[in-house]
Amino acid sequence: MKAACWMGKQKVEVVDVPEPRILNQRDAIVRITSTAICGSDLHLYNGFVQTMERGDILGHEFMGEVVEVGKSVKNLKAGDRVVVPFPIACGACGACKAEYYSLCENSNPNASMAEKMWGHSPAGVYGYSHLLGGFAGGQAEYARVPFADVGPLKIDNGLTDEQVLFLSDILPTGYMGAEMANIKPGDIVAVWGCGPVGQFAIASAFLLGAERVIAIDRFRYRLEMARDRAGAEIVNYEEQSVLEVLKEMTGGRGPDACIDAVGSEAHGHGAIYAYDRAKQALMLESDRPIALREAIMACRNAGTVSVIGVYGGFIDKFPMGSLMNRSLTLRTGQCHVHRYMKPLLQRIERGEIDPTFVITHTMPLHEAPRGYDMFVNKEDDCEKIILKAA
Amino acid sequence: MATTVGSFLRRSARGSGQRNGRSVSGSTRGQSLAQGMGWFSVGLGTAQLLAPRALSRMIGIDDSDRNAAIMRAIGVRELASGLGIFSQRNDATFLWGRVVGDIMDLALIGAAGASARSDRRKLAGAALAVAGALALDMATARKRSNPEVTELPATSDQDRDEPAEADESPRQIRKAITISRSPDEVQRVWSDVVRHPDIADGLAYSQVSFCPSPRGGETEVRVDVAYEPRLGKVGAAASKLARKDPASRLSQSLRHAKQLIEIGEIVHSDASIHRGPHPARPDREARL
Repeated sequence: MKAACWMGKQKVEVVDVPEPRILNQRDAIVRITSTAICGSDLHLYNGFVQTMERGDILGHEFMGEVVEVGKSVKNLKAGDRVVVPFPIACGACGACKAEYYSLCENSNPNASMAEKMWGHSPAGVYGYSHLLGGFAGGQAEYARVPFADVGPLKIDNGLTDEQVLFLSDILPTGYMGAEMANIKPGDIVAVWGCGPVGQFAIASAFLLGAERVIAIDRFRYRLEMARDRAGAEIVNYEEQSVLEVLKEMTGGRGPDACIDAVGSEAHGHGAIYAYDRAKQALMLESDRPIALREAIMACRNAGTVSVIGVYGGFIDKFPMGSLMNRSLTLRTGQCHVHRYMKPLLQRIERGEIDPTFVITHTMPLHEAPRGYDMFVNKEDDCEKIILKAA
Repeated sequence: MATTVGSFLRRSARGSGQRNGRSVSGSTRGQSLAQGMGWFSVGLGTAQLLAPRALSRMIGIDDSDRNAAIMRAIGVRELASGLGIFSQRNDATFLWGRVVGDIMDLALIGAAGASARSDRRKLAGAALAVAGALALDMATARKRSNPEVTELPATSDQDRDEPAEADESPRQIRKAITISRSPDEVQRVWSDVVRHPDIADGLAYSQVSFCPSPRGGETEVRVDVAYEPRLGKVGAAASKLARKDPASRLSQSLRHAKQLIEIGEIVHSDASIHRGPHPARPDREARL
């Protein structure tokens, strides 16, 4: 079968690889119809994630048709159409029972590696390094889906791939970002980053009752999408001082909640940006927390900072004093996708949210290398790319 | 080059420290030795910063502007190394830093030897002094890193945290894992679970205890394993790197036991069915 493989820094190739097979009794094999390139795939693409191996199949946002199930899978059969959540979760451990699916205690066969890096291991994830299990990803014609009786969401309501694919990751991730922001009526929410996750965080903040949402980015087309499609007020950080503008817009208080939908490869300008680029190049810090620092500094006293942008390692100049002295709450996490799939599917069915607005490009799987290049360079106003595998 | 002198004098300082050390307790001795070295580095660093040319002449190189600049830079390093010892008295890092410094000095002396303006006899003496100091610095740093190789009986208060052990004596490891089942249930299946081929190895010679977690409905399993260290330190380091050391094997066995009890089988990824890191590319030839 064909699969998009990571072949080194900024190098993706579509190559012929053997098809996956059932390894555990609760596995299913899915023939993929649609898959997407995620902003967090760009961290892999740019070489910022440790423990990638040449040849690893990329991709953790995918859906398709079940072609084979292991003997313990009773709820699915060949022919079922499913969306697959990106964290792999067993449904039986303490974390899964408490609905912290991205922290499943049983799904990362390389847990010892992750424990060395992070203290404890999170769940395994498709196509996202050996630290997170070494599972083959979904930017391929077929994928093996472990715990198929727990994760995959069956779709039998006639919705298109485009309408439901993002239930695999970015829609629930944006929603959880807004949920963690503890939004109350009248709240003003600021969202750093207008990539697809940021767009869904904005839309979700409104769904959860935010009065106003302010979106921050530097690309005009992304800001315009946030304004025109998601309903946000916009701030271009290359043209305005974010802290000053946010104060002015919120009567001096600052946003009640700040959402970091940027993560470890934030851009900025001036000395601070140069400082972080230099430290990262010298391996003195692994992540550039420019958006996170600003989100903390901007947040209203006693407000909440919600982090859904992905970080991998260590950051510098973390404004702990601001966080502590001003009674801020910091909430974080890889999305516990399983929790949100059904409720968000219902919201899509009821027309409360239409996730297709972020899609700017659709291309066949074999054009994945061009897609990565286009996405990383923000060419042709690229916001979200769907790859068609079948 | 400057530390040529520095290392030589440091060795003298260390010598007197050791003499003093024999008459006092181990911990005081260790501290006073380190402190002596620290004070010496601060003094030398200051001299290098303030009188770089005089020190250059002393070790047989010309007192050019360039050499003076290098001498000052080394003075900064010397000061940092000395102050570091005061702030991190129980940390071997700075001692290893001195080893690196000695190697750097040897390299600089080698480079100076190529210059026609250098006094080769003075330089040779300096090189010999640095080589001796390097050996002593390495020995000191190793003692601090590994209390086992110390010549002293490790009975002092300072060393009690990391007791010296004879290399071949049996060791104990304890690891714990929480399993999402009641203690009764875990206890009932445990003897079957630990017979699984992927688990048995890591749990050989083990003792196990089960107690309910404070949250309820879960069991905290604690396992003590005794093992006989083999192949000495090099073998231990190599097996740890390959995650084949007893502690890593015990952790992995506990994770697998939890998987068997909670979900009925051991979870595999495409990479985990191969030895070591492997592309997540599915492989038809792989066998479970």
